[in-house]
Amino acid sequence: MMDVHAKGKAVVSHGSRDDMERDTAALHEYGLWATFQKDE
Amino acid sequence: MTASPFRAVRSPALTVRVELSDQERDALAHLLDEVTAMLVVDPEQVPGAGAQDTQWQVLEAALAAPAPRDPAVARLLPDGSRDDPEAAQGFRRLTEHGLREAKQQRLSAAAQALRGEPPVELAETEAVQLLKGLTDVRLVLAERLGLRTDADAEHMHEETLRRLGALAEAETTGDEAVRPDLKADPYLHLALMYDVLTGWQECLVHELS
Repeated sequence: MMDVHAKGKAVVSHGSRDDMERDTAALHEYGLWATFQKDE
Repeated sequence: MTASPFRAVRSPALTVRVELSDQERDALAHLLDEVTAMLVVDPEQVPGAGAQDTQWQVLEAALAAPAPRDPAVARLLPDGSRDDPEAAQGFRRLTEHGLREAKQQRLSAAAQALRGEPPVELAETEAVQLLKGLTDVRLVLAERLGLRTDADAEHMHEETLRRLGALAEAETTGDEAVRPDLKADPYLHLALMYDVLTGWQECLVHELS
């Protein structure tokens, strides 16, 4: 949570594209601006 | 202002008693309604859709469209990807409609619950709907107030105090000509609302935990 506060972002989940899209949508429900991206 | 706007009652089931004044309750329900209305797809706002189009055509155009133009609505329905516009659009096509509906439903349920006969008591599900609804309302207000960082929030507090001070000073001098009007200062109005709602939400979180 401190990462989110200080750096503006934090990685909260890893997995397949479908799973990440689902997690992202769930966080949007709570008003959190989650995004998904491919691992480097 | 009410000292403790919400109070949890834990027997037999968890409910939350709303101890806001009628006026405060009404104002909150009204704000929830306003945000609900912002989430309705407006054909005028959808590029490529005309007002005369059928609901389905509007929906289709809205789903194909990039992020909503109003930044506050865009904050409620954010992009799923910052670096890949194609992925963001694909994600939006899949999720935006559902998110709009879920938020609208939740916001109007919370508003309706608040409009009950006093003393208003919220069931646990209604209290959670209100909790999430307060987040949406605060996101909209924060966007309108340009709050992005801690420094922005601090600046808002300083600015609010400065304007309130000017207001109080004009009150004491009683000079009608220079008396600032709270209603005529939309910034102060929004900033105070934001602060009050933050306090209410904090209290509701506390009571529910």
